[in-house]
Amino acid sequence: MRNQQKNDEDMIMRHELNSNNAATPVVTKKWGRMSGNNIAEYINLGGFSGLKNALKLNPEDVIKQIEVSGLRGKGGAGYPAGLKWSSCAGQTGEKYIVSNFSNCDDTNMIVNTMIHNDVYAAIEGMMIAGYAIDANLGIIFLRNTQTVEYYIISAALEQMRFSKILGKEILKSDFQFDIQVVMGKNNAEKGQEIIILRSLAGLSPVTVCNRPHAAEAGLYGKSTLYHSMETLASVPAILEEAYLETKLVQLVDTENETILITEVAIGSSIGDILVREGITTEGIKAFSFGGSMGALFPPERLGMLIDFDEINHAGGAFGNAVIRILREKECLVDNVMHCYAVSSAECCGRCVFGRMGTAQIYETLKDITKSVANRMILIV
Amino acid sequence: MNEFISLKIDNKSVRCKKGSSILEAALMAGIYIPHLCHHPNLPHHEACKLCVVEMQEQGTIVASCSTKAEAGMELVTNSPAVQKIRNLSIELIFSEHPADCTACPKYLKCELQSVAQFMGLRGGRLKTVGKNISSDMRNPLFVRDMNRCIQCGRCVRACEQVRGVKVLDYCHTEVGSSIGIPGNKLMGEAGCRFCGACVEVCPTGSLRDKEGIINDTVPYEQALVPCQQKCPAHIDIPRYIRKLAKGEMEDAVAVICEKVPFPETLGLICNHACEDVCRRGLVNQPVSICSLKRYAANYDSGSWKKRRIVKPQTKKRVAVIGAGPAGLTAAYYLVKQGHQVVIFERKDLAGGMLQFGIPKYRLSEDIVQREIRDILDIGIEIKYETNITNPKRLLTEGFDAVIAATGAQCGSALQIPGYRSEGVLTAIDILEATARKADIKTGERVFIIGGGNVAFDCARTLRRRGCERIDLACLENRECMQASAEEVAEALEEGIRVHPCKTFIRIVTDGKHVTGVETANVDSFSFDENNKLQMKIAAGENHIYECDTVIFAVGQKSETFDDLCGFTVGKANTLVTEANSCQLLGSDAIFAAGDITTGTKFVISAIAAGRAAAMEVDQFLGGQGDIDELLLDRDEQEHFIGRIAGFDKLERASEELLPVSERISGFKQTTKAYPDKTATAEAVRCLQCDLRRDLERVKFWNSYDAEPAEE
Repeated sequence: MRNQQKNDEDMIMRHELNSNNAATPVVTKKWGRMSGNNIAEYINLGGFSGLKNALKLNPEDVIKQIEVSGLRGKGGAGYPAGLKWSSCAGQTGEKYIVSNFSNCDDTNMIVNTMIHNDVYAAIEGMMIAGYAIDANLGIIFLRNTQTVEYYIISAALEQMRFSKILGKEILKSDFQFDIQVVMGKNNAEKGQEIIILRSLAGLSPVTVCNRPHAAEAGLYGKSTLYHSMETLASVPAILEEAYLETKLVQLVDTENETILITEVAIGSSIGDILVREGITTEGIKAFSFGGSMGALFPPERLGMLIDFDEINHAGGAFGNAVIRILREKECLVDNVMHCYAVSSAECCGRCVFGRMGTAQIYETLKDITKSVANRMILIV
Repeated sequence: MNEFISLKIDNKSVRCKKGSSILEAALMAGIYIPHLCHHPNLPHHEACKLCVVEMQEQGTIVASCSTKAEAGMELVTNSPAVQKIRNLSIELIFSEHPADCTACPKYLKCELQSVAQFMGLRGGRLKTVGKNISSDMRNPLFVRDMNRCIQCGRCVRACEQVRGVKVLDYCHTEVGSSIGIPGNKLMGEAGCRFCGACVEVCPTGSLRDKEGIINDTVPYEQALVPCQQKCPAHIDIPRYIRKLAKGEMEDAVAVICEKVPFPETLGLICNHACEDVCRRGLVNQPVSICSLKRYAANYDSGSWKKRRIVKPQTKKRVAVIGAGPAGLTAAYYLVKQGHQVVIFERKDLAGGMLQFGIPKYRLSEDIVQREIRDILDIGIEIKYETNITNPKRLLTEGFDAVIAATGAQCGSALQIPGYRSEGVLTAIDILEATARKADIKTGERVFIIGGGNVAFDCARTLRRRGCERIDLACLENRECMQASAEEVAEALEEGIRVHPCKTFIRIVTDGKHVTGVETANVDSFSFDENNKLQMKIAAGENHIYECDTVIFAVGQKSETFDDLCGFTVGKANTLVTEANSCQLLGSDAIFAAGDITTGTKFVISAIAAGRAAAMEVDQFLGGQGDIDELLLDRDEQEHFIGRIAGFDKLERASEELLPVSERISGFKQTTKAYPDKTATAEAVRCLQCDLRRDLERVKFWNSYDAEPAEE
């Protein structure tokens, strides 16, 4: 498992990220046009005009626009963002906005690419949300491995404070908002909303069953708007112009030494995306959607559309939009085994099925690949 | 609030409070559903998935611990689908749990074992995933044997959410998750407050008390709070310490007075056996329980007396012989039970050894007499200078019961040659004469025989009376001397010469008067099966200490009544009682308490004996024998104790000791009570072991079987 990961990392070093040829740039529209998260360039490219537009509106009208746009949470569940916002806005008392600027999967480079190419879009989105739901504090959560990203984001926030876009009297309005960056303590603290909220509150980083919705009782039991980075990065575009729902996907074709990240409109078919990006669909044995949390599909399913419900119903993990192409040389069992190795090592550790169940499956698959498995194991 | 709902579990109608979970409803009705991660005091966690049940109508399977019971639900606890999940879960749990149950100290007390037994676990299908972590023995009090951990998360929830301490947590490494202390720190370093909640809730043998920490000769609930268990009067120590930590001094006194009527006296002179067993002592040093009692007593305004209950008159009369701590305590509690009590005291002042035995520099007369006045004020009649020669006769004089509490008043002497010479005295002689400010002739060079607290009391008293040269010798070596370590240290500071490991051959005289004591060095000694002393005398010549006064401080005897009335007399003139009773052998209505039955002991033992006698006499006179009272309502315990920086390193505070010159120039109290700040800081050091008692003990499956089915 370690080896495979290592290979992936090496390849990322050798290949340029093909991140600038999206057909419909929404999140990626300023990518490649800034010399590295420079606030002046971001503003020159029309940055913060979404925030400016929002501040001219009533908060209710901002929420209305989000509702109309049809924006859904891109972390995976696809919960309508407008509903989340209005349910937070309906709460009284202190409110928080929390967002994870991290990926749950080591092989997923999407979020880090977003941070490196344009971190402001997501920050701007967070501030618009803050204005809409009447929150004054946003918290950006990073994985324990994202040290570089931590400094990049901190520097970006500092530039914003200096330019009076963050803090008090933002853009000469009454709106005040501040953002903190927090790094996780260990490799289980990532992705999962409840784990991150608990970790921020100083509680043990495990999932909890039957808990209230974060909008009602999130961080410290206060109303909390929780979004993934990609969802927030889509927000400024909604306030600027006509909006189209898109999704960033990462295509991995190990045998052809290709890894690329591209933005696609929701509803595009996977096969078409591969062709457009110049990845041959010949000789595909299978492909996976969702990395270690997703599922493997046969090549006949290449027609599957990139869509919240279609992917999730098929067993993929929409949030973790890594499409891995497996060709002749790769072993499917190894691939599945690797998924379970990751799941078992990075589970939160609360329930016995998550922890020992995945470990047993991994052990069993290992035995199968070594041809030493016991037939009994399959009798349930 | 207490709205009830009905539902059906396994076709049995069950009523439960609205808002309770399905699991709680089932257990309450005596239907056992296997569970491990659920604990009644902890938030639900849904980690073990053993408690799954099937909702009949919907056909869905839910975890019963985290699903609220709703009216009209129909549930099955052991359908095939449920069994499948449950069996897989227990198989998975055991795939990482060591199979050597019998080698585990938790054997037969283990919840996991009990659940496996209930489910009839047959292992061997899944691969064993061993963890091979050796147990962590580095911490005081607790063993962390994470090899046996099943990650139910109870300890984490107890530490984090019940206690607010947050030492235990889920730890994540590259290979997976485990429960532990982030950074693999020592518990103390990580901020542990050693409350024991994690150990109490652990369903396996992975978090345990170190061997010997829990005294298994007493009931578990008592063993959890060793200070209270060890205290002869069972004062609720953690409770009053907690009050002091919060600065509620009067409440603290009320808690002390629930069990003893002499708070300040005990705060000054108690032998504090509680501190010897204090668990904090295993972390660094024990809590200064005794000094804190003294501090609290200084704030006694008597407000607790308003809560005191004196029961209606019973018209029964009890005579108590002797107004020492045992007699006074017995009288006090008997009056509270509604009996009429008369104390007969031979001397002209009450207090017994408190007044005449304990030197004033340890316990001033004012304090003793004030506390005695407080006790007598409850309505005890006392007759001074009345010597009772025949206790039985009192029964014919209108008393329904008699308690003999005459103590051990007679100093004994070793019967070595010359022990009757002039200039040979006993410690009691010196101490009583000093208490009475009377004259007693001692020479310039005094030799004291004995190594107990009384010997040192005597030596230090003589020092204060101006005696310059005082030698003290005893049989024991320095480490084993019976006197407390502080006593010895303070005496040495005051210039007393201490000679351990000596045996006394004879008292040298000039024919009439003492001139010295001949001693030999002792290598070792022991007592044989007949309790007879066996000594090994070291080679070498005997030594003669020159002196003009010899004082024996080798224990006291009781004085027998002139008319023994057929009582059985034991060792050192003690009166023998029925087994586990205060009633004297062969007598009907005559009881005894304190040193007269046990030989010389400590004040707290006498007080405890007085309480026991009061209970028994009350029962004898037709009462319930229940003398316990609550002078302060038990608050909703504050379980959320939170973190305190460097808690394990907090040092024990000692009382300020006067300089030697000031000490020996008079009979001033040698130590000063704590200032407020010190007292609070000292009280905060308490581990609050009693909080652990409030965590519920989980019942095993076999205790549900017995419960009758509810109609």
